[in-house]
Amino acid sequence: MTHAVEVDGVSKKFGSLAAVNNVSFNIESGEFFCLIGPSGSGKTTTLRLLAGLVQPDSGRILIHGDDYTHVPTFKRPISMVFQTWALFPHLTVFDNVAFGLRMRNAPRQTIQEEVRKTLELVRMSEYANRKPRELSGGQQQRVGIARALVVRPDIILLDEPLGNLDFKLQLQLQEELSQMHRQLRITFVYVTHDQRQAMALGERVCVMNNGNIEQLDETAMVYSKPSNVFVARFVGESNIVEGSVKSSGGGKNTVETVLGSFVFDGGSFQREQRVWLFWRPENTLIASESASGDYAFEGVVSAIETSGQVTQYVVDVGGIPIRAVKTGLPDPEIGEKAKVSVGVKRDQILLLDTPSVSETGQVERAVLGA
Amino acid sequence: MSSEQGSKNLGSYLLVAPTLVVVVVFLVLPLLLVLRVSFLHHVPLGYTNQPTLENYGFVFTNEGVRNTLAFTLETASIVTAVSLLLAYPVAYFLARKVKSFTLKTGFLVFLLIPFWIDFTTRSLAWIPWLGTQGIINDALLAIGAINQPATIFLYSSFAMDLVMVQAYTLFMVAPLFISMSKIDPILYEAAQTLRTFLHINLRLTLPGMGIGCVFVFLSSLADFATPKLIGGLVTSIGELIKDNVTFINLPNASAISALVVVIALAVLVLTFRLTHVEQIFE
Amino acid sequence: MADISKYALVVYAGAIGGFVYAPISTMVLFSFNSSSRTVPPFDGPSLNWYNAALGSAGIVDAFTRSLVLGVVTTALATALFTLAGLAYRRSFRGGSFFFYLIAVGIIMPGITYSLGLELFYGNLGIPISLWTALPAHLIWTIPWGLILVRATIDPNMLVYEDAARTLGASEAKVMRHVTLPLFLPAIIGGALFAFTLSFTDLVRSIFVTFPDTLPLEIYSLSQLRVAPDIFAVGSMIVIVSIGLLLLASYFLRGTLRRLSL
Repeated sequence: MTHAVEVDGVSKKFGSLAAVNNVSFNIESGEFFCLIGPSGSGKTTTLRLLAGLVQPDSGRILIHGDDYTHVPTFKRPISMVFQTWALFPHLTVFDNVAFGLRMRNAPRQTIQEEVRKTLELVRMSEYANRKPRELSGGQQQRVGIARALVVRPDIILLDEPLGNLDFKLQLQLQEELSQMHRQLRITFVYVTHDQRQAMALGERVCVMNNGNIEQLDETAMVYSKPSNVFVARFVGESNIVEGSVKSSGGGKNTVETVLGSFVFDGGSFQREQRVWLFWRPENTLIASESASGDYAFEGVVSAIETSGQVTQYVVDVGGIPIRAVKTGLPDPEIGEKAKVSVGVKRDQILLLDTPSVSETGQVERAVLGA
Repeated sequence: MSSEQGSKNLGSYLLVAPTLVVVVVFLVLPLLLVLRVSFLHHVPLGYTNQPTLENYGFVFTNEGVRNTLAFTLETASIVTAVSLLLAYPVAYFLARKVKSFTLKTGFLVFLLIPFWIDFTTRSLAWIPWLGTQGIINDALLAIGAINQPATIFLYSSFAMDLVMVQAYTLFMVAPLFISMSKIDPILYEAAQTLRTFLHINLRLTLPGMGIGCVFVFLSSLADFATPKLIGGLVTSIGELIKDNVTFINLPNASAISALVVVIALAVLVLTFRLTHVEQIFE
Repeated sequence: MADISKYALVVYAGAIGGFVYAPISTMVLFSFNSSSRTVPPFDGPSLNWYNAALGSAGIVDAFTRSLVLGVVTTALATALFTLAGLAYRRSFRGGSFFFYLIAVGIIMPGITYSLGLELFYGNLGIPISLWTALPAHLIWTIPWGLILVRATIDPNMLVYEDAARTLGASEAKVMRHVTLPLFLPAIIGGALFAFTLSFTDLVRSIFVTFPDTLPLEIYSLSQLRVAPDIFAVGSMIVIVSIGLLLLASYFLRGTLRRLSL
C-alpha cells in the first residue's frame, strides 16, 4: 500500500537554526492530516518542503511512492492555500481560480465549466468578476480554496488558512472545509498553531516542536494520551504536577509531589526519576468541600472564566494552579477567593516521564509557572 | 548559509549586476577622476601630475567662492522649503481625495508634460510674466498698486527661486504622492483632531519628503542655467565650476566640485537617515 | 467639513496646475506672435516662428538627436532598472549598499558629474559625440526607475509567486503571468520619467555631448537672444506630447481599466 506522502529523514536548516530535524512520517490517501505546533516548530517549513517551495538538506519526500525530493513545485501533484490568501491582485476572482488550469493549458470550455462549478462549491459565484481587493477576508479565502481545488490536486496543502479571520468566520469556514474534505476525499495537509482547529478537523495530528515530532497519532489519542508533557500542555488545557519517584517495584510506583503522594500501577521507574502527573480539566472534580475522587486537595479559587456554555476555574493549590471545567454558568457557591476542594480519580491521571522530545528547558519552567 | 539561500542571493546579484557595472564604470570612476584632478597642479590649458592642496586652499579661502556657495545653498534651501509646502497639499489631494486611478495618473502626467519642454525654454517662458513689460507688471500698474514697472520680478533672486520652484515641483509631488498612497486609510479615520491628523501625516510621509527634498535641494544646488537665465546678476556654484572648465582650470573646477559632492553626500545620507527612507520600500 | 476641505484642495490643485502651466500658456500664445516680441501686447497671429524653427537645421537636427538619445536611454534604463527591481523583491546581502550606490546618480550635481565624465573620456581618448552622453543619461534615469519600482511593488510579491508555483507555473510563467504584470505600472512610470529626464537634460550633458542635443542647442541660442522661435519649439513639444498622450490613453483605455489599482 503506498502512502500518499512519505517523509523520510528530512532535515532543513536555516543558517544555524534546525527548522526541521530529521523528521519522518507518512500521510495516507484521503486523510485529513494536521501539523500543529507553536511558532518556530517547523510545521510550516515541513509543509513548504512538501510543496517544493523549499529544498531539504537531507532526506527524501515521496508522493504516491515516487521520489519528488528534487522535483520543482510546479510539477508536483499538489496545490496550496495560504494564510494571507495570496490571491493575484491584478486578476479577477474568475481568473484567479482559472489560473492553475490555464497554466496546464486546459481547453477554454473545460476552464469555464470547472471554474463555475468550483465557485459554486465555495459559494462565490456572484463575485466572479470582482477583484480580490473588493472582497472581505473570508471571501478571499474561499476563492483561495477554490483556486486550489479546481486543479484537482492529489494533495492539498493548507498553511494556517483561517489565521487571518475573526473567530466566528473561522468556525464557519472550518465547518465548510470539513464538509469539502468529506465530499471530495482529497488528502488534506493542514498546518495550524491553533490546536482547537486541529482537534475539530484532523483525523490524525502531528505535534511538532523545535523541528522535531513530539507525537503523531489519531487526534483523540493525542488528546487523551499525550506522550509527553509538551504535547499534554500544547493540546488543550491541562493539569500538570511535577513529582519524583519515591519507590518503584512490584508493579506499584509511588510518586512524591508538592500535593502529596500518588500511587500508580504498572510501568517501572528509577528512584528519584522526575515524572509529571497529568489530567484534563474536565476530569477535575470541584466542590465547596470534600470533592470526590481518589485524590483531593484544598485550595483557593484564583480565577473564574465563563462563556455561558462552559465555566473554567483555576484553583491555587499550594502554589500550583489546578484547572477545572464544568458546563453551564458558574456555581453560585463557588466564587473567587472561595476555599474549595478539588479532586481527581486515579484512573484519569496519566504519568508522563518525558518533558518533550526536544528536551528544552523551557518546558519544565512552563509546567511550574502558568 | 544553505546553498539555497546562496543561490537565491546569486540570482539577486546577477539581476543587479548590469546596473552596478554601469554605475561603477560611469559614475564611480568619473567621480574618482574628479577627485584626483582636484589634487593636481594647474597650469595654463591643463594640469600637471604634481599633487598639491592649492586648489582646496583656494576654494576654502577665496571669498568669492565662499559667498557664491553660501548664496547657492541659501537658494537651494528656499526652493526646497517652498516646493515642499506647495507640493504637499497637491500630493495629499491626489493620494486621498482623488479616487479614480485614471484621474490620479492623468493629473500626474498633466504635471509631467511641461517637463518635456527643455529647461531653458521653460525658464524663458516666464519672461512674458515677470518682465517690466510683462503681465504681472501690467496688471499691477492697471490696478494702481505701483507707479512704474517693478524690476524685482525678473532677473532677481525672487525670479530665480520662483522658476526653480516651478521646475522642481513635480519631483516633490511624486515621492510625496507615493508615500501618502501607502498610508493605511484606517489611520485617517482614527485621527480625531486636526493636530493628530497632521502629526500622523507628517510622520508617515517622512520618507517621501526625504526623497523629494534631497532631490530638489541637490538639483537646485547644481543648477547653473536658471540663475544665469533668470537670476540676473547672481552667480551660482554650478556657474563657477562651469566657468573654471571653460577657462580650462580643471583642478579648480574639480576642487569646487569635490566640495559640492561632499555636501551632496552629506545631505543625502543625513536626510535619508533622518527620514527613515527605507520605510517607503516596505 | 470634509466637503469643504475637498473643494479647497481641488481649487488649490488647480492653482498649482495653473502655476505650472502659466508660462506654458503664454509661451504657446507668443509662439504665434507675428512680431518678435515675447512680452505683451500680443501683435497678432502668425506662423512665422514655426517656419523659422522648422526651417532651422540646427534646431531640427538637435531635436532629432534628443529624441533618438531619449528613446535609447529609456529603453536601456527601463531594462536595467527592471532587472534591478526584480533583485529587490527579496532582501540580499549588500542590497542596501548597492541601492545607495545607484542612488548617488540622482543626487550627484550634474555639472560635477559632467566634468568627471569628460575627464573619463579624455583619459580613455574617446571623442565626444552624441552617444558619449548616454551613460550620463543612464546614471540619472535608472535610480528613479528603481526607486519607483521598489516603492510600489506589493510586499506580498514573493507569496504570489509561491502561489503561482503551487498552481503549476514554471519559473518563466511565474515571471510572465505574475511578477511582470505587477511590476508593470512602475515600469511604465519609470520609463516615462526616464524619457522626460533624458529628453530635457541640460546640466549633465553639457560637457559630454557634441553635437548638441535640443536643450543644449536652445541654451546656446538663448544666450544670443530670446525670440519666439524658441517658444515655437516648446509649443510644438507640448502640443505633440498632449496629442500622443491622448492617443495612448484612447488606445490603452481597456488595459488601463483592467490595471486600475
